[in-house]
Amino acid sequence: MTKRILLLVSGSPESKRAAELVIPLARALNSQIIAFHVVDVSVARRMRHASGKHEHEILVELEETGWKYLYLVEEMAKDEGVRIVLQQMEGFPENKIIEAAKKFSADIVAIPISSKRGAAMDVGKFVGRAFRELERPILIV
Amino acid sequence: MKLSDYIAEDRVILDADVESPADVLKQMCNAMECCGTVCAAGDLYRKVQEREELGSTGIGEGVAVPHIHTEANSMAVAVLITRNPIDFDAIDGKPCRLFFLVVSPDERRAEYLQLMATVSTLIQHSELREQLLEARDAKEVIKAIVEAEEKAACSTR
Repeated sequence: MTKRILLLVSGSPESKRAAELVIPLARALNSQIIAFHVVDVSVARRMRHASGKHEHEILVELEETGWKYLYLVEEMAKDEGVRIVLQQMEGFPENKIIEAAKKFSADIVAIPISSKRGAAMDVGKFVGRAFRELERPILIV
Repeated sequence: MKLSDYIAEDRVILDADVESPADVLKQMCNAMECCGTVCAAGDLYRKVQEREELGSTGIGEGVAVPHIHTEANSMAVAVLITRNPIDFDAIDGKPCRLFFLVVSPDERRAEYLQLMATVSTLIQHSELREQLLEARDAKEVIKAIVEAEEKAACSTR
């Protein structure tokens, strides 16, 4: 039986759409969702140059936005009676998703990637690494 | 949004001599009833407990943020600091001593989400956690939170 689904939550509306797909799956499999957000340090560095803000300030903003989306996904899961816990880490998403999947013994890893985000990042490299290193089902949503 | 706007001295419980997660939640729910946030502590406890059954609200580093939107009269946060660490089944496996119960009326869900995000972000500061654990009374708890908020605000100006 699938027991744990690690759902990567980004600090954007696509998180809600991904949760709408993953929550029914978790319910059908009687699984627990580990909603997981990464405070992306590479984004903070890019934003620092663009905004002129301090990196720490941007990280705090990203963290708060992350919690907001995590709690939003939690609300959605709770409304459907699906078990859920929240976790946030700081670092590079491509590293942290692998670290979290191992740490929490996730049976499925769900990664939301929108076409917009996909265009901005090396999706193949990101997902390919996850496939190679995790040896468990990966759901791209 | 500031956490300190939702905390009052009569919702701060220090040196709580509790032995279980249920004791923690009951004391905090009682505090919410005493200050008029909800009418019945028992009903609030049942709903908060039901939420915990879906997954612990222990967010790590010895902190838990139980939360519920319900038929509350206002949005409020209760703080409870235990004398001894309590196994709250937190995601990092560490026992908890710092508890923040967030209660909100059903119709204020957007603010409710923002308040929980605010609490969860602010409490990541290890210095604040240490100050809260060393606080001798409710005034010191609120003072530590206000100072942490001011410090955060200064760093974002």
